[in-house]
Amino acid sequence: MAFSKMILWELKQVFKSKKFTFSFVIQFFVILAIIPLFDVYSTILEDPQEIVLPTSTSYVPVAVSSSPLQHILEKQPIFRVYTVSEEEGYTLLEKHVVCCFISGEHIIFDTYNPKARVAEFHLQRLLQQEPTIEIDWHLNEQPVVPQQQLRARELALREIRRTAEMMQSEQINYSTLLVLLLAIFLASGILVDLVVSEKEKQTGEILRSLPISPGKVLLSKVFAVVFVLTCQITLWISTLYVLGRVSSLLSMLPLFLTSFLIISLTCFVSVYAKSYKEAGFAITVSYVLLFAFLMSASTFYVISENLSFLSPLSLVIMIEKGQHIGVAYAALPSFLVSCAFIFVAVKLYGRDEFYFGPRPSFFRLIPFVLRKTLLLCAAIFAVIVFNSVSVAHALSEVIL
Amino acid sequence: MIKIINVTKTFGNITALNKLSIHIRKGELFGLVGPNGAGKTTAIRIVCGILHPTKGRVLIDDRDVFENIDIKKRIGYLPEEPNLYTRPTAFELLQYFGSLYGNSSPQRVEDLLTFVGLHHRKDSKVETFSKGMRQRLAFARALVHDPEILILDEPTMGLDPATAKKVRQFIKTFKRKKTIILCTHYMEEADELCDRVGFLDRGKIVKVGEPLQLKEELKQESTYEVIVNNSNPVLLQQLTPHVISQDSNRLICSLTPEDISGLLSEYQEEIFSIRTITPTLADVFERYTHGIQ
Repeated sequence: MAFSKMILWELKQVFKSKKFTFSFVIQFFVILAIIPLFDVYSTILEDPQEIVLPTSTSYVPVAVSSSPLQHILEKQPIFRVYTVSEEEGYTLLEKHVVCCFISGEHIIFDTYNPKARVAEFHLQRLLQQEPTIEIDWHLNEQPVVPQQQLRARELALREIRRTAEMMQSEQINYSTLLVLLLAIFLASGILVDLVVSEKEKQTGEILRSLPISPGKVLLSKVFAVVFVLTCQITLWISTLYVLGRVSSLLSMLPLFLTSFLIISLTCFVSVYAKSYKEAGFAITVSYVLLFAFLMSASTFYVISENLSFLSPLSLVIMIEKGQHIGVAYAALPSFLVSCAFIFVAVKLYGRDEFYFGPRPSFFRLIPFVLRKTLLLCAAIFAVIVFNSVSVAHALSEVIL
Repeated sequence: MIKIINVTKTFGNITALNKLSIHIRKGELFGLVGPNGAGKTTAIRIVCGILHPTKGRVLIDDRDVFENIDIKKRIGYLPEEPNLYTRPTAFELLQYFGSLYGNSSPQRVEDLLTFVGLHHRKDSKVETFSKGMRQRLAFARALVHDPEILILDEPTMGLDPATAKKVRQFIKTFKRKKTIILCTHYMEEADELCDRVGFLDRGKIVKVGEPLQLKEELKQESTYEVIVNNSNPVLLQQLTPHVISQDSNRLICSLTPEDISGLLSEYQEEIFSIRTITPTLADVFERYTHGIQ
């Protein structure tokens, strides 16, 4: 009863705060403004004469000259089809303006253009659906690649193909979801304010005299922030869904997992920090490290799927590929790590030294944290070791 | 009612309380008196269940404060600084804290605001309140759930005389009705309000008793105010074993008639005056502690 009253109180304080209102409005405008800006930017860059970025639909330019494939290609949003004469087709291919030229029943790929691999991948898929059409495949191998580079090039192209698979036009819209990190940072800021201000203004002393455990006091703040964040993300995702930027509402899952991870880390840092100044510094460092970890783990998807599960950012890809078992598996580590952060923060918040001091140093805290989360650490370590063998194998393949 | 049993509290290498033991009776107003850094605030924070003792126990009606969180419902705590949320109004704040104790009746809040003289400001935000008003509001907050035990840490510290007087009147209102622990280093306040006082020095209780009794004890030792020429080191050295307190050349000493006649015959020129005094609680405080540091 008292716990729910505390959550309501914290929520009321958040919604009454001018800081929150101001940040919310700013955030809303930034999110709304960034969508058209993002589109304009990618359209300019995707002009065939300019650098081509795989950022939206029609990003694979192909030249077609009287081919039975033409009408099929024109229906595929991924292809930008140029109807040309045979001579023009070869010219475009040589100038690397198009990544392949389809002439009659022949396809000639520009192997120096990474998009050729994307085109190859999609064309193969299309041809499987159209068994009546027979096509010969050719590679435009001019200029000649030195023999010793061929193996490395093949491997690189294989990885480019996998990257391309990830970056299909529908999925690229999810990059706009990154702007929703703004909401997470705002929520984190609120949490720091709620936890650290109790120390700075010494209002926490009163809370500790209440017939409620300190852990519940902290959780009431976390729940209030999670509620605010959920409302924000739901609002933004719904807006993006209505605007057609997101096709699957399941994409909220990785966002929630990432935000829960960030909130839990913020919670831990806020409990440990003595002041706003210290919390600000510690949170900046923590976020940099966390993002380095999330991004590096998600890029493992390109090399090997084995470690990609460590980052919820990889989940978007899995969701789109319909790997629901993979999603459940991948959601688990970050969720468990978040729970561990919250659990340790709750334990620390109940200890006198984290409010009244003297606080143990960060290095002396590590054994305590490990002891409290022993089972979880062992499980995560085992999974990492198990997967790192496969990752090492995949990496060695790429390097060699 | 409240038993503090062999409580030790350390902060890193610093021992704030060293085997502290006090027994406070029901309905008593107990003053915890001591110099700065003696461990008064630490002691009452432990009684409130805010701080955990390194060793020892705190029992309220034989139930451990740290094993029965519900005991906290019986305690009202007023910290040294009001430490109130500043965004809500006075009414909202009291109602919120009342609700956490399961007692958020608007009538109770209204009555408390009237009691502390803040009813006319009930819809004002706390951030607009002066220090005195905040202290009165904090007093109301400590009373919002009508606790049996009231623990007050320096309630008049930093207040103007008029507001301090009001706060002392509030405390008097609850005398005998509630068990009160008053932590102060204002001796007059302790003398005026407390049934018993405990002198705390360097984390230990050095003396406990009723103010009157303690003063009488000192009086029986024949306390004299001796004003001397303090440039005479031999005289000062001779007086040192008898000194209770010293302020420049004014010494409060415990002397026998033989001591006085001996001193007067030997140092007639050096002793400017000598007279009996009625000891105050401050003298008792200095007698048993190391004085205000």
